[in-house]
Amino acid sequence: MTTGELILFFAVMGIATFLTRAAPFVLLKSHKDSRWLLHFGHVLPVMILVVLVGFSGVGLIDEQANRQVLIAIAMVITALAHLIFRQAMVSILLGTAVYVLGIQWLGW
Amino acid sequence: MLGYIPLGMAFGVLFQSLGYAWWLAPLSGVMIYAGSAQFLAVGLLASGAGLVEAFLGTLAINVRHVFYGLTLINRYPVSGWRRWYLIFGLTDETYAVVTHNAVPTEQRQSYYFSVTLLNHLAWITGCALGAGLQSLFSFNSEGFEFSMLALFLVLLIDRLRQLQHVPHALYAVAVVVVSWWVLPEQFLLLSLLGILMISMLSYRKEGTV
Repeated sequence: MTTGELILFFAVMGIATFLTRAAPFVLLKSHKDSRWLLHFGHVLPVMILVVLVGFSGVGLIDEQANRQVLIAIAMVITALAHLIFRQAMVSILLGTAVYVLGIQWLGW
Repeated sequence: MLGYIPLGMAFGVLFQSLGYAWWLAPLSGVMIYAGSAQFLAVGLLASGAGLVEAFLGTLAINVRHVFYGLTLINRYPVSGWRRWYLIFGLTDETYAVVTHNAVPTEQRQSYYFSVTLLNHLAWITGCALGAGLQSLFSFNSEGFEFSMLALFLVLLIDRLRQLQHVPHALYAVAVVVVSWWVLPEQFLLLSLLGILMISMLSYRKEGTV
């Protein structure tokens, strides 16, 4: 694939991504003030975050089947750090460091 | 934004395995600006996939974004170029951040714009750093991908500090487990449909916001 073809490839994926993000804004214009949407706005974010945690975790498991224990340890450390320090940066760096060290130094 | 530098770097390093010029990694960050879709792009390119597969694969992996817009219709600007840039940049992280913090109505537009732009710049920087450093030093960045999970986990914990959200979080956990058990290859789509159904059911039950 040439550089030009690769850029076309990116453009196609960029358009597809934009379509998924723009769809509700374009399609739902007439429902702006519905209580229905407000309800979604209230209950969906927390549920989407649960799904994204599951989605990211499953993505890590798929790469190598025997990493569940390391993933669980790194998640517990991330969560504990966040409950104690309440600093997103600290929690993310600590959890990611544990995971990276587990893979690269301990060979999990 | 915090998770985007290391995650972008992980993508940049992965992208370098394809053997293209390093600057094409940040360019994909400018043009596509979707983490999981860009990781998918590396897989598609490695397997010699065509444009139709790229289009459909991206729609499938990013269909979750439809749900983000659904909850932001009332808050995002109704016109102007900023509207379209905000929609273009409505990634997982941007969505999580803009729905996470309560911002006074009059400051919302500039806050949303700043978050979207900073996230985009962080992502492009991460892509450039990863691909650029990898082309220079060939280091081992295996494990960086955990930062995406860590970010979502941290944002979830912050949201759960408001205990009113706990019941819906537990419903979502049940949906995730069932989806994974029933149809692991369509896990994401099934989970999203599941939580959409729960949202509808709880609306009927409560009949109020």
